[in-house]
Amino acid sequence: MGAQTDIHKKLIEASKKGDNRSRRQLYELYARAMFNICYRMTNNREDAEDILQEAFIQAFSKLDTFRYESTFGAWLKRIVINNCINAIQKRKVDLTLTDNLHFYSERSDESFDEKELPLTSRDIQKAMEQLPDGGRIVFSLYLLEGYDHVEISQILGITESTSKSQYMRAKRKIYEILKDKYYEEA
Amino acid sequence: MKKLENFIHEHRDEFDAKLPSPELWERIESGIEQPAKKKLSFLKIASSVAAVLVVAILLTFMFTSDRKTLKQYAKISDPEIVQLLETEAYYAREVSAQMDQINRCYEIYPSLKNDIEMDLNELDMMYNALKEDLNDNFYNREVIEAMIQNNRTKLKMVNRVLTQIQC
Repeated sequence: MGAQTDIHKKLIEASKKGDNRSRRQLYELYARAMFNICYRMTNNREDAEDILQEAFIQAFSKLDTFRYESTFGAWLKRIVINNCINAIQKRKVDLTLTDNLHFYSERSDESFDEKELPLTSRDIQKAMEQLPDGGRIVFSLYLLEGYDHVEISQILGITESTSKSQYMRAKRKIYEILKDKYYEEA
Repeated sequence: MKKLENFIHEHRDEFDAKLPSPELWERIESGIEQPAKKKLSFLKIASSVAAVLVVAILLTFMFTSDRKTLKQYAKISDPEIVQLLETEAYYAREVSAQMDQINRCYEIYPSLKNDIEMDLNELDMMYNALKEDLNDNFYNREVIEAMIQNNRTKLKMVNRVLTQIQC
């Protein structure tokens, strides 16, 4: 990690001074990961690109406030996520962070063994797209972005227990969607 | 249920498969120098509307309080301060909405007026002092944060009263 941080440090310092090539390199390094975060949070390609654009412009314009207290990636990620949340709230999409998620009807065959359920990243991503906004966002932040429930509760302005229950429900729902698909194809 | 978590951890890279359009960098590049050309997506329209609203609220708020502030406001370019001011405006608006509600309750509970005004008086005085500080300090972060905190306290208080009296 040390060597990698050093390479980035040069790029970051040059970018602070306004060097466009370094900025571009930083962008190339992080655009893909950040774009996928935006996509998972908004579920929409065009919105994700708009947010990514705003987030990078914002990051470059306040780069001189970055003091290596965290990794550059973690710092950028927070800017990206905050932009996503602002955009989602402005879009007035109901974040559905309360208790009104409906459950998929449980299959009656309790004997189904989850170990048998084949998983692919493609199917999981498709299932995630079917989750309500709130559940999808909590699920992504926890499992893919690696935040814990305390951090998520701060990011989203919800309680820790809401974050946990949203996560559990989202996970269960993904299983339900995957199971449904499995049965349909069987 | 751990299976899903493990699978995602092991295949984490596959979840970053999507790529942004190649021309996005150019949009960012032009945005760093000057504001990017606005594409009229729904998101953009929505955020402009929101921004206009916030500015309108801020202006009304400032016009009624002090004309000098307006001039200073035009000079603020630090996005963090602008964001803080937006938050401040939001809380100020929330407080005034709640106060409207309380005012309606005065008719039903006339004694309420004295009690609440006594409690709020101190907070209001602090708030006004902070607002003056803000003019003198060219939008100092701490001052705005204190204003937000002040309004939050007011909101908490007013909300508590509102749930108690339920008028």
